[in-house]
Amino acid sequence: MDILDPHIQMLRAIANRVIPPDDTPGAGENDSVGHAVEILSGPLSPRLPELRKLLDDLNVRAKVEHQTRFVDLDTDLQDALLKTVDNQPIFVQVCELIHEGYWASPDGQRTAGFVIKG
Amino acid sequence: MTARYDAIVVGAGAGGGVAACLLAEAGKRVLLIERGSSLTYEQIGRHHLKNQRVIAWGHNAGPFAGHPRVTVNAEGVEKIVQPWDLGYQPNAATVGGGTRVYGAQAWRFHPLDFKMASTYGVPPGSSLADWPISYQDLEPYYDKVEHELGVSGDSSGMTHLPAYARDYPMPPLPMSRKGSTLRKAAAALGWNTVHVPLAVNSQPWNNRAACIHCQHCVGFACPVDGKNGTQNTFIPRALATGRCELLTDMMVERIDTRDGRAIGVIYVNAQKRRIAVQSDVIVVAAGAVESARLLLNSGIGNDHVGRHLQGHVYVTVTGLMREQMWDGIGPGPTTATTRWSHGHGDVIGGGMLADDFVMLPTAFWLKHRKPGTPLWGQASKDFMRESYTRTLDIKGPIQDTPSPDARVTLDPKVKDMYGIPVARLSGTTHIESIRTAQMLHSKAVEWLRACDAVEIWGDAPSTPVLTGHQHQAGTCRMGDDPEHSVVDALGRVHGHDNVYVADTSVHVTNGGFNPFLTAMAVAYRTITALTARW
Repeated sequence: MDILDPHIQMLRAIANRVIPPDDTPGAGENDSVGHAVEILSGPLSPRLPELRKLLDDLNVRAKVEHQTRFVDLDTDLQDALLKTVDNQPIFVQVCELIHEGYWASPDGQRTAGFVIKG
Repeated sequence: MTARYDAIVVGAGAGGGVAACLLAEAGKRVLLIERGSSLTYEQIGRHHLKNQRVIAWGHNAGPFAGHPRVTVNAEGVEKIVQPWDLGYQPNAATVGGGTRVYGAQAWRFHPLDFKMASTYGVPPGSSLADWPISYQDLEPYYDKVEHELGVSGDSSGMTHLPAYARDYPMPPLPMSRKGSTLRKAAAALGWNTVHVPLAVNSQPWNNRAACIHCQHCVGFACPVDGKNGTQNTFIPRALATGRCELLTDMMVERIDTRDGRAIGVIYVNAQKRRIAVQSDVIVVAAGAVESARLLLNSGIGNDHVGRHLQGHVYVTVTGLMREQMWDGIGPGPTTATTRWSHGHGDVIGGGMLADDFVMLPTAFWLKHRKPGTPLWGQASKDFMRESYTRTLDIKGPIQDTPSPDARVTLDPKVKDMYGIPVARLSGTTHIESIRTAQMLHSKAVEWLRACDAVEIWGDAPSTPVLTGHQHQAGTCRMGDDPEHSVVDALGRVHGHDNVYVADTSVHVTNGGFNPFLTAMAVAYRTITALTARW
């Protein structure tokens, strides 16, 4: 994914709002963003311009309304901004990718002390 | 000099594995050609998003890139689709075929599944028809496959069938919490329940381990080789004779003919070189889409080749229960009812309902979450936390009412990586399939209510679509009349006494059950008859 670091930081912040941390990690704290980036760099790369626009627009609004970057906002303020874009198709797509990455395992169950024969 | 064999079998899946084995054990020199690779467990892997069950961003047992198809929707809009795209109708392309990674539900068809037209009449616009053979004709071969493949179950519960000649070779797999809940509710409703028969070892069998009850069955290879497919049963037997040669990663382009008679095949290797091999007999077992494609590319067969493509319309309903249902005991399906298979209301046929495979969390989120679940925020996380382990899913196939316009043809423009015209898929199942599915859906809801589900979701199918996918069938249908079928009752292509089809393509209708056991039994019968007179 040909995307600048600030966009990755924003995706991580958004992931933590899609699946927030509580007594278990949020999606910004595992590799959910890695999965999203992998897919957005690959089969969904035609949607990158749409994603960049979303992230840039969110950042502009954060600076205009709260004089700081989106990633530096309190979570309540992040949620308030996200609520204004959550019907946009690209945001819906990002949510689905975050959920996929959060609930999935690329390795499945691993062996522990025996030889796989299958 | 062109290599020569007694028989060439195209496709090393469910039917092809049986065919190669029986031919080789009958003393014939066999070439078994498979377009996929012989994939190891590690190569298939366990990625939750790239497997034959959840094809979110790819799958794990082929076909891979280079094998596109073309779909045509109801409005005539064409689209080139890759093997992981919606509409492709994929089935695994590897040694063992779908049996390498399937869920292994080893059902016999119901006797009336072979007589759908004479039981229900023929709806206008459909191609509902009777098989030229009966359950009784196939019963001995069901028995052989169950014992030679390895199936776990309890035949005493199969009261919808005539009594078995002998019980399954292995007892049923353990009951789960979901299965116990379903059984109790079914008893209260007065419904029968049966153990789901599975081609999975419930005990060590055939020098392989018993199932370890992992949560990665359907869509994946088995880590202990306790799931039975042709890759670990019939194909090794074929190879052990010394008379069967297995070629993988080779694509059969066409059946070669001379003066109208099949003399062998032309296949393409990885270097795109075409190689001719000759044989007395060709057995086509590449799956319903690819078998039809091969016959069409070869100019063999009549106008019915490719028609009547069918699979299964599925009913899926999810219930949220008061207590935890998830116990992590795989494979998952333990309890089914066949109460609604036939003769209910004015619908055609019916289907089977059973508990589902252990569902991975991502599969639950992607395919079974409650409609209206928030996509983001604490509520979405809480939904998974509170629901995932408390859900009970019931699903089951209905007998599709086939349509002659649901079909495989050849695309005039698009070719695969070998330069071979690809399959073009068009049409839908008949509208009667939807009515039957809606009946079965209502029964699934009734069952969950009897289980005391606090919430139930999952809509009934409402729109006919093209079915096929991993249960694809029908494209070289069997029949006595060459005007209305592709192969005769012994699997021989009409007009070609040395070309046979030995996979689900020959299914006239596809039963209200998973079809692989029937495909293998039919292949067993076909090849037994062939070797008896050869």
